Amino acid sequence: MKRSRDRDEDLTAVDNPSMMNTNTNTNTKKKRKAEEEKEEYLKKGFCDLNGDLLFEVLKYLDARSLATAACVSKQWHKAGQDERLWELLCTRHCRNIGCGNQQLRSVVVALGGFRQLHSLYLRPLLKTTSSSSLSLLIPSNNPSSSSSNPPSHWGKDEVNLSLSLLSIRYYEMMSFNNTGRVCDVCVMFLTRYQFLLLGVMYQCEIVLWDIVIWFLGVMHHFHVSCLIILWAM
Amino acid sequence: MASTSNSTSSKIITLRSSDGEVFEVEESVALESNLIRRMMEDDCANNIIPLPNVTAPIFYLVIEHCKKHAEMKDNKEKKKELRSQGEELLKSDPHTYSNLMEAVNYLDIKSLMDLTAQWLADFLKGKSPRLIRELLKIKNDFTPEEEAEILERNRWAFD
Repeated sequence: MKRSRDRDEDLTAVDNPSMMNTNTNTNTKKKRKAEEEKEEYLKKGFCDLNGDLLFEVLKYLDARSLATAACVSKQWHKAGQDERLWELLCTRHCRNIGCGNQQLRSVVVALGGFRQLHSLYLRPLLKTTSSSSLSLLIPSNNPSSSSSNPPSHWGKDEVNLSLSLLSIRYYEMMSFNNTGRVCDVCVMFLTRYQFLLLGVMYQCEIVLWDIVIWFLGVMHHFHVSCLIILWAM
Repeated sequence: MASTSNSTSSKIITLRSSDGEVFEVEESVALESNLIRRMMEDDCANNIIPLPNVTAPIFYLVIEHCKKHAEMKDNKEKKKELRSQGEELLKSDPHTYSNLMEAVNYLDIKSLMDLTAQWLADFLKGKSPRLIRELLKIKNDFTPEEEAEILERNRWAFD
C-alpha cells in the first residue's frame, strides 16, 4: 500500500517539476522516520555488556572470530584487545613448552604482549607450516599467502622460535628509538642476521635459546635479559 | 551449612524482583545463584530477598533456565532443548538475551553464565562484523576512518 503511494509521488514529481519541492519534503520526513525506526530497533538490540561479561564470551572464540568480533563496535573492540584472551589463544595449542605460564607471561608481556606475538609470529607460523620456513622471516600481514590447515599442537620449537622472533623485534624497535649510537647500527645488523640464522636453524631443529641469550647479553638490557634467562631455565 | 543443605528439597525461598514482583522458588533452584547463597549465609533466609538489579520477566527466564539446567544434568535431550531455546532467544530477541546474561552475571550463576556465553560465542563464529551488528542489532559507533583502520588491521580474519 505504502509502496504504491510512494511510486505515485515519484511519478507526479517526474511529470511536474514544480512538485519537486514537496517531494524532497516527504523525502526528509521519510528519512527522519527511518532514523527513528532505526533508533527504536537499536534500543531493542543487544545491550552494552560490561567488559568482564564480554570477556566471558570472547574467551570461547578462535583467533579469527575474535579479530572479527573486535570490529563490531568500540566496546567490543576494547574487549577484544584484552591480553588475557590472546594469552589463552597463544597457549591453547602448546604442550610442553618447558616453562610455567607465569614465566611465559612475564617474558611475553615485557616484549610487547600476546596479541603482538600472535599477530606477528604465531599466525604466519600456523599458516606456513607446510611451506618453507624462510617465509617466517617476513612478519607480514599479507593474507594472500596460502593458508594450510593449522597443526593441532605446537611443540617446544615453534613456541621458542616465535618467542625469539618477538624478542628480536623488540630490540629492533628499541634501536630505532635511540638512533645516533654506533652500537645501534651493529644491533640492526645483528638482528637482521639473527632473523636469517633463526630461519635456518629452525629448519635444522636446533635449540635457539643460547643464541638469544647471547644476543641479549650484547644488548646490556638486563631487565629483560634476566627475565628471558629465568624463563629459559 | 551441611544441616541446611540436607533439608533443601522442600524449603521455599521468597525473592522480590526490582519491579516489585514476588517469586517463590525452591531452595535447590535458588541456591544455584551464588549471590542468593551468600545472602542466605548472611541470614536473610527468613525474609524476602530483594534483587534490585533484576526485573520480573528476566528473573522468570533465569529461573526457567536454572530449572532446566538442573534437569539436564544427565539428559542429553534436555541439554539440546535448552541450547536450542537459548539460540532461539538470541536470534529473536538479542536485547532480552543480553539482559539475561547480565542478570545471570549479577546473580552469579556460574553454570548458566558459561552456557549463555558459549551459545553467544558459537553464534558469533564465522560471521562478519556487519552481519553480527545486523543480527544482534548493535550500533556501529566507529567513525568511518576508525572502522576502515580497524577492518584493515583485522583483514586477515576475513580473507
